[in-house]
Amino acid sequence: MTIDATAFAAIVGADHVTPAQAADAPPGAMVRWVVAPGDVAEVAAVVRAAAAGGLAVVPRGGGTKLARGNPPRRADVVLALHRLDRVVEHAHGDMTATVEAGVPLAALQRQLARQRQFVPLESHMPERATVGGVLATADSGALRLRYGPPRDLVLGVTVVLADGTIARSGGKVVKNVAGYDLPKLMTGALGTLGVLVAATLRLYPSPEHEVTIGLDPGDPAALERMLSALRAAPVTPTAVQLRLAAGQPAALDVRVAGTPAACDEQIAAIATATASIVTPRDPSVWQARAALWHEPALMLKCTTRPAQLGAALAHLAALTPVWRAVAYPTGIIEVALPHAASAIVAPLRQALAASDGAAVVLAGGGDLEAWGPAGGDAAIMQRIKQQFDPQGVFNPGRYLGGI
Amino acid sequence: MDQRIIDAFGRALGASCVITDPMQLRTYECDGLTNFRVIPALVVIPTCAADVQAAVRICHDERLPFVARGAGTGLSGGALPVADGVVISLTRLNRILEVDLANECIVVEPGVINAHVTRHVSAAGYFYAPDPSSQSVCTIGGNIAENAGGAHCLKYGFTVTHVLALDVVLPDGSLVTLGGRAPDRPGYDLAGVFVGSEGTLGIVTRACLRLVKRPASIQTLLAAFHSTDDAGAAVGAIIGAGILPAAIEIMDRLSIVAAEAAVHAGYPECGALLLVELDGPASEVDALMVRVNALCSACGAWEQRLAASDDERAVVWRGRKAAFAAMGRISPNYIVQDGVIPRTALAAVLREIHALGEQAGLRVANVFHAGDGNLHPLVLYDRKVPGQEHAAEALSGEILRICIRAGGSITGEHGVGMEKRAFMAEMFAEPDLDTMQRVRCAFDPLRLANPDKVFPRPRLCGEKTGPYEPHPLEVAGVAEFF
Repeated sequence: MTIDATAFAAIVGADHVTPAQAADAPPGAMVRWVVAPGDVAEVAAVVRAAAAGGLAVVPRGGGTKLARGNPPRRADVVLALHRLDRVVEHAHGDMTATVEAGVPLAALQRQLARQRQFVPLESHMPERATVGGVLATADSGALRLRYGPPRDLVLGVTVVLADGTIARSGGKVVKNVAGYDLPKLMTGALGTLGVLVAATLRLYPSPEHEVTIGLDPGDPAALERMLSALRAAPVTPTAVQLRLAAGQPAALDVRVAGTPAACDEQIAAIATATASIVTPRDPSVWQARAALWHEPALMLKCTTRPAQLGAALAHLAALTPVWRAVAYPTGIIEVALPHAASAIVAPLRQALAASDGAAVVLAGGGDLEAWGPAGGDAAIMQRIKQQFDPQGVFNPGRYLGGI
Repeated sequence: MDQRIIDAFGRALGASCVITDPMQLRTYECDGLTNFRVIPALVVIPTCAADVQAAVRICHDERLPFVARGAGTGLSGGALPVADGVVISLTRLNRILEVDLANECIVVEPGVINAHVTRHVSAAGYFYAPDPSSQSVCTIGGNIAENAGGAHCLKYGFTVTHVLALDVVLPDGSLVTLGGRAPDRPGYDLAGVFVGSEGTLGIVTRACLRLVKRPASIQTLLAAFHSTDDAGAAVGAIIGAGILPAAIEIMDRLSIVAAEAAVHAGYPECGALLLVELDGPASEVDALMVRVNALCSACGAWEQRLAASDDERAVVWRGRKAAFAAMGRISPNYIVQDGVIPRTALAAVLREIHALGEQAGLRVANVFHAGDGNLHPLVLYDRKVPGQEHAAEALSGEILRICIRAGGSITGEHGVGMEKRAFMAEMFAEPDLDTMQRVRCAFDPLRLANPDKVFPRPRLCGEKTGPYEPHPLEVAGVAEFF
């Protein structure tokens, strides 16, 4: 069956079907239309129509992470979710919020802040980045140390599967073990198993008082010692990051929260544990990760066992003379490199693999394979994809192992 | 079971690891939910991951259903055997393999007892956060299967939050590693999906668990209220004030009386007891406890006691954790439920449960994780009174329906297992359940791993749901249920 724009216009209205421009789609993909459904039923109808027409669909939120993954083998329709932008419910007494996938992260945080709450999700370009996109890419930053990865914040999801099935999983309560935990499966799946259309999120109270302090570790050996002292110290920082650039000393930023007295106590404990001088820093230092994205670059997400963070940074520095990075003690390093540095990715992957780590291309990778080698669980991932999307409707080829 | 197959298990695992004696097989006929009983055809007790794999391979080749089992403390019948199938007991895989404090993790086999993990690292200032009440006997493998919680998961998260990597024998006998010690391994979060799958996707042979640094200060408050409504209001006030306690629990009058009788925790005599534990930096805990005290008083607390030492705190918790078992002191039989509701619906739901209990002429005791709305209503009854067991089952089902109607869940930490399968169809729509089946089909197309659990299906033959009979070990005083 052939299908054209009128079929989608019949579902979402002619105003919401537009011819695609290059910037609408993942790099390297030739997409025909951008279709913007207005509700979940329309999403299901669009997916059903596309699947029936043998078309491939790229689900998209704010489009800030379109470069994630490999260029799709096929891509015909961008399914734009920006019209699904309602905060369905902010149950502040229960500290949960149910939101549609197209809600921009910053808009959500503003609404939650009215009740002095927030969701510990992070992304660069939070005005554009949507909740659905942050979850689909499992993006995270400095808050992860204290609040966990995005998957731990997702209590329930509604997804539209490749056959148009609308399925709910998880729930609206913070504790629930009824059935398989599909929110975990959908978080980080890059829309390859279904379109995330809504999610219920766990919220936290906004800290009453926060202080950002800085430490200057000096040489790499001192950095390693400082991180390990910080890990062992009787403190619970809400955020920790390292700002790094080739040829410059590392800067370590720590944020503590709580009562003013408790913040002082924690800062004193940090100074004692690390045997270093602690200075106040401007909260704008937390924009460092977003700033990595200001200029086009080869962006990598490197991972390692937390205790091997210093070693991973040393590998990176040994491989290239030009780099900038923000690293987290959870074992994640976001790196900006010149495009010409793509040859270092293979040796970097080899080095990181020794500590269970990986180097994933986030953007600007050109012909580089985005994910690196698949592991022993690749077959089961393929079988899951086969069960959820046998026809390859969603983002075919964009994910790990050709999924 | 065919002698040829029994011999195959014997050759693969060694005869001492294969149980065929009918009396011994009876040991495995049920888990902590004793009103479901099925005697398995065979039990195997492998001693290493390779033997687990060998056993699963034979099951796969012979198309035999298998059920993995840890300590058998589950409360939803998740380890209930299949009559013509094999029980694979993991209790001999009980080694702690590696402690990696630099990466704040520990590698254990599935038969390691939950409390032993913390015991192993406490001298170094760490603990393993998930703390189900059965933690002194339940195993990590079972915790993973059920995604076990406990009183402290409000702040620290559930088992899934603490599992970094798993070695898993899939139902086709292949061994795979899911997750990893580094964060965000590329690809689907299979470890995340596996945790809580109740043994239906495979068997864990090794787990890497996250350890948590012990907080600098811990304080536990007992506050006495006239009613659960008042105690519930205090919970709302504390959480509404932006305080995230490590644990916040309520016991109602009946459970206080039972717990007192069982472990003499020295609880005040009151209509409802609120237990609040705060942890963190000392000055923060001190400051927040003052606020918690004030909020409790404002909500009608007439007595507040701070457990001053580790010992006092242990006594307070012993009473709470023994609450289920303590019901035996005030009732011959009981059914424990595990429903979850939005926390703000607490007062209304408790009133509804109370009214239903009166209607049915049955007492319902309540102990619950109030912070996350996880209720544990205990429906008390006497099996010897004709019709009471049936009435208790009906009431306990109605309680789950109340939880579903309130926007909650039928289970917060005990799992669906055998017991609550039928309610899955009330909590989820058909497409939701079908979607979960897709995961099942990817892992276990032949439906060999713990078949007939979790998802609604007609009952199988050989499944006994009649009156409870004491287990021979119970009669002999060797074991008790908790």
